[in-house]
Amino acid sequence: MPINNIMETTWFLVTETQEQVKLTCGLLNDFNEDLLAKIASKDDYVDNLKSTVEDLCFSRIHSGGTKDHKEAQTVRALHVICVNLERIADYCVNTARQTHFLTDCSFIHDYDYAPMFIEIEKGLAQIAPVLKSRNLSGALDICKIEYALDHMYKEQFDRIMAEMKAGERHIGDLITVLFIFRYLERMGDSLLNIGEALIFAIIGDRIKIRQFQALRQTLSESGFDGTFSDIDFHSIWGSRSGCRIGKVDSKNPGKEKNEGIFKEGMKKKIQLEQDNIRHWHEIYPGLAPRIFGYQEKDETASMLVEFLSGCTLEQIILTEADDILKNVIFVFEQTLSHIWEITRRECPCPTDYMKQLGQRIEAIARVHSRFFRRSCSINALSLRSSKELIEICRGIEKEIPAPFTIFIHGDFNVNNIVYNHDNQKVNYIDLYRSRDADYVQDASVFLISNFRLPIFDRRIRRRLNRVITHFHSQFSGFAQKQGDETYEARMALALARSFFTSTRFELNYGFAKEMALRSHFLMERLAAHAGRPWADFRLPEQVFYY
Amino acid sequence: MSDTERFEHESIETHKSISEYLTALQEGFENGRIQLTTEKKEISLLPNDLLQLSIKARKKGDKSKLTIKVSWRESDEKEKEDARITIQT
Repeated sequence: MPINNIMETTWFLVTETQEQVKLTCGLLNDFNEDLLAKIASKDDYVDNLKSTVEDLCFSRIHSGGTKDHKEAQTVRALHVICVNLERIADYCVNTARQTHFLTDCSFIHDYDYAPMFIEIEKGLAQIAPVLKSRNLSGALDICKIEYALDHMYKEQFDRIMAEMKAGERHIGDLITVLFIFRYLERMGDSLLNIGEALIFAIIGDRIKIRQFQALRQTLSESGFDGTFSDIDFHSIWGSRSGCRIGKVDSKNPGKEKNEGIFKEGMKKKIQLEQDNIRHWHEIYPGLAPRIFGYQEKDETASMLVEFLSGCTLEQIILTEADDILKNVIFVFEQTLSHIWEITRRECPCPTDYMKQLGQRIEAIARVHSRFFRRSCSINALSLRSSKELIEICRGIEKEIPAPFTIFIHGDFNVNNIVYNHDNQKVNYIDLYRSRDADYVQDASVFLISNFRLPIFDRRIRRRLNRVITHFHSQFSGFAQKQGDETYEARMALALARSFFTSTRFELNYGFAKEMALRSHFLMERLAAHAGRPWADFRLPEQVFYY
Repeated sequence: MSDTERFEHESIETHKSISEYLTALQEGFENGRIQLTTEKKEISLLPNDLLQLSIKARKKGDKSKLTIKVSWRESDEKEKEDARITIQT
């Protein structure tokens, strides 16, 4: 049996499932017994189709008829797709039968079921074209429908719960409606399985699409204005499995299942990250995640990269025992100093910390407009505005270019560094800002990413302070060794930038204000030093500790 | 409608740089005028010889706090005119 026949039967099943979904939506819109009977009677036909595809798939694989590995993958994917299509069709029948439990079928009209049907139909319609054109982005779009449906389900769920508590509507009807929404939500789960199967067929790797990627996407579409690295913390926190080192399964290191992170965005940005990842592989093989797939559309590009198992450095700092933390820091330092040594290039490099701050001013102002100081005076004492301070520091920055460059990570947050306990290795993630630049850029972001964690428990805070002290002394030591005389001044500029820009993601007003004040303090100190040799500038170290 | 005029400034200072603020304020008290200006408005405080001073200090764990509060009433010239008693003969 050629694979085309299996595909054709699968497309029949897709069409039948689409029809079932359409009829079920129609039934909810306008109930009639004949339609309900029609939906129920189609169930057997769908079951038969699924069994047929299943038989075809198994015989194809077991007879050794699959021409190559790629074809075998497609057959396996088709099987998963069919199982899940039949499940969706089953849920349609279940949904339709629920209408009998409603005291009045129009009861459901008060609830937003139609948008969920639209999403489901959209997903089903994409299956055949995606597989035919081997379109990775399309497959990922199908995966994302699950998140959209979950979101819609949650809205309806909350509403129904509230109505149950209020006690004004018929409880039986409410429960029935809740069951209906539950079936629609489960159709989303099946669509996710289908999307993952399509990815498997296209790229040949078994990838689990993480929910937080859908979240990222959705945040992006909803107009979230910030760098995604800044929200990673919250999303990864809940989803990175086996985080605690003690729980990491090291028995089967060779049998791990790959998981992917989907990135989609402006073509230039995704392309850049792809180039950077490749460059990192040349510099330090195994440091960056592998790229599973890359695809370009007109304006956008998407990329599927390896999800690296392990814990972020942030998680280790916050949760692990002292001895483990020490060990991780040791491994991390070895990696870092090696990278800094081998990528060092002898050429002065202008820095742009104040420009980076300028680019984020509007985003900061949207969240904390009060943190911007206006110029003012107290009798003869004139106090500079935020804008004036930034301008002065911009001028200072021009005087003190970095004496050499290294290949920097570019967004060196503690949550962009992943440690794998099994192979005692450090990995870098989120690499689209990597470039040859001042090492102080990475060093400052790393230090601030510890500081800005909104954790106020004294014990953990002391630990964060210890980590900061340790790395600050490491970075200073590196600067001394390299004869970098303006390190402290550049660090002050970079910290002023990071303290201020970090406020836009901090809604704890007091903590955010503290960071804004520290940023101004550093800029004031730099401004006060102007005219003297920058090698003499001393960084006020207290700014590091909270 | 509130006719309260306000001036606010917050910053982090070193033990040296804070003295510039204290000196500016000290001069203001000596001259009987503390002029506070921002881009949009100007407030003049006219300390007189009936200043209520409160100094509070607090130390708890690693946190220390020193609060200096000076308050007074400023009577304007018109009020002084009104309050003047005129005896006609």
